Amino acid sequence: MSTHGEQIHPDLRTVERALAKDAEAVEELIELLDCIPAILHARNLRHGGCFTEDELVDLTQTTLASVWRKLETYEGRGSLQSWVYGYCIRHMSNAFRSKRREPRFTDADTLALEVHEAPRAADSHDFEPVYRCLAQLEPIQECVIRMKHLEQRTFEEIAAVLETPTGTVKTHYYRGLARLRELLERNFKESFA
Amino acid sequence: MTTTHDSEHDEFLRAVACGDIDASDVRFERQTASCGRCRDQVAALRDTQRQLDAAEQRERDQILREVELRPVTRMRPLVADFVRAQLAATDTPTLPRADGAQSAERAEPAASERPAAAPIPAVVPMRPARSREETPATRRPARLRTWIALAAAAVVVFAWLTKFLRQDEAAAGRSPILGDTSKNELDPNGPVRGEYEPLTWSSLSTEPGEMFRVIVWDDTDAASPTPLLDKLTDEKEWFGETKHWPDRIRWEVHIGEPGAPSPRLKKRANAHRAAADSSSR
Repeated sequence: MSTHGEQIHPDLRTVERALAKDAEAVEELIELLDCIPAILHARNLRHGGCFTEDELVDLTQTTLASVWRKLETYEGRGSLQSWVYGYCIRHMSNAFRSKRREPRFTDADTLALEVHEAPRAADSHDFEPVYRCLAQLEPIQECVIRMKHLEQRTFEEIAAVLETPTGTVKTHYYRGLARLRELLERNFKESFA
Repeated sequence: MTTTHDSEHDEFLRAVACGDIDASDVRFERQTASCGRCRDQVAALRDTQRQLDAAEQRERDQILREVELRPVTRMRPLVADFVRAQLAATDTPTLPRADGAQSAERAEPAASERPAAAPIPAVVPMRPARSREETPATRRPARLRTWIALAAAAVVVFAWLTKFLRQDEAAAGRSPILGDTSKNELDPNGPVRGEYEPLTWSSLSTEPGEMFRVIVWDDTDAASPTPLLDKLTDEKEWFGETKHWPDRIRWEVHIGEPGAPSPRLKKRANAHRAAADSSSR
């Protein structure tokens, strides 16, 4: 937690004291980390509520464990909640991808009910034209762009997650970006037509 | 000098979009000076990237604002148990320090001294040093606390394991304690006089947005993998023609949201015509 020469957020001091087992700070840390289920819950609602309560409990546990392992790398550049947010997004996105790989619970005769494919996050982001257009891309392009911009991953990380060569990932990213540009321009023109 | 925009230019744009070529690169200046379309495309790609980042930032800000205004979540006990268990797990006794220093800050090593990704127990590698007056008798409560902490950690782990087991078992219609719980919830289950219909699952309930999926299979020796019935409904019973169904059926009710990757709950039962029962004996 090296913090020289920068504005240090008071949460860093709380974390340090809590790790040193200051009872009061431990309670404060618990209160701060209680943002994990809250963030997951809020984001789940925005993404169409595709995770059940049980799945959110599991997600909370895995995110909490991940955050705890990295807690000592928190440098106090922003609030702890803001730092934790990135972990929540990554774990939730990983869970989205796992869900998409599982067989779907559908009835072949009632395909109309498939209209709300849960992991297509854009459904609940009507206020965000960017997300709406993003959802119109090819799934692999959408996935790469989401991982790059929403999960702040490097191309190498994305390639590792998708088990795809980095060059291919970059091509998907570039093509997706160009397509997204077209969609945004069309959306912009339509909204002012 | 201007050039025509071709596939090589696309390679350039891809490299710019991915950050492999930046504005300070000589190639960047040369290419954008010689190709008007590349210049426009670079500007458009960068604008799109900015829009993506801005959308992410807006979402982040909004969620964090909501989170700040939130009441205590229902999962607070889970978070509290986890944090206390992790801190307790690091509560290992160390030799008393010669100077008897007590400062919590001294007990916490500097960031530079700590490994970047230390395992959880190493988060707090030292406990505050004990005073010189400490005796074996005064250490007993500390040992007791260690054992209590370890027991608490074990309880938390056990609770998690139990929860995972219950989820799997519930999905299969079994309870780790009660065994096959689906038997009492689906009807018919076992021998049937007359026809199978109606199929009922009145004790099961859905949550908002959920539906029932009823699937019936032939369970005779000549069983076919194709279901006899596969229906999505929000009713708690199904009526229909079952005369042509075989003497033995296997059926399941799945509960979940249509379009969800997997059902929240599955219940299953087997039924057979009573005549088939007696003839098989």
